[in-house]
Amino acid sequence: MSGRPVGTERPSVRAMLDRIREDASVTRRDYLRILVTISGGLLAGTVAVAVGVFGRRDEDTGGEVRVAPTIAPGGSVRFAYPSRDDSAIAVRLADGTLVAYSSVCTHLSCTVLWNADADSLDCPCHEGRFDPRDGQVVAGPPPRALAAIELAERTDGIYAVGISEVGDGDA
Amino acid sequence: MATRRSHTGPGSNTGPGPGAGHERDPIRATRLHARIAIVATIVVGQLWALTVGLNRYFEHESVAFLVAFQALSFAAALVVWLAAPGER
Repeated sequence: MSGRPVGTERPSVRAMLDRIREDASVTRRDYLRILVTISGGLLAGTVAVAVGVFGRRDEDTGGEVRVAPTIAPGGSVRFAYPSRDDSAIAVRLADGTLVAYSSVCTHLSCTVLWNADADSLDCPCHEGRFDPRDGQVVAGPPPRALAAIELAERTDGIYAVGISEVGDGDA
Repeated sequence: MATRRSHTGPGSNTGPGPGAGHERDPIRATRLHARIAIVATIVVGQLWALTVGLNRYFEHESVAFLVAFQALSFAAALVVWLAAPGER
């Protein structure tokens, strides 16, 4: 503060103080203006959502990804699907069935590993265990089944071609 | 004996008089408060619509009718705001 007595401020300072007092006296009217501005912002936000400004993660499928040339019975291969940041695991069961799942545990997101001896997909963090045939939880704390990945076995290798719809493996 | 001179005699009252601090035009103020309440309600509805719209978008469903709802809400808020030029 300038330390001058009230009423003896310089003209420019006095004009500024007058403006501040004047602004303070129209606060309720400003509420209305601000609310209308927020309303316009919400309209703009919804339009942005509608036109797809915000990307959906499940759109990042990456199309088809080659997993491996082949997988021997009882063997597994780690790969990334649908994006490079999503780890997954493909397993050839002893009976020749080929399955693949997201290797992110549904409990606390540790990486699930193939346990050929026990014929299961195990989470080493909290001893969660999944059935490799359908991804369902058979032991431990995981609350949901692993997300299943659709595979296609072709002459030139094994390909990941899509993700099973949510709920397919939750029966 | 010295007489003490008072500075608060009848002719020197400078404080707020009766009715000071009250609305000078209560009807106008009530209208303004009503407008604020209406627009605030519209904004709350728009917030709800935005959350519903986001849910539908991420479930790959159409959000066209929510955009229409937001546009109508904004238009209503504009009308309420612009209805009284003297109070803006």
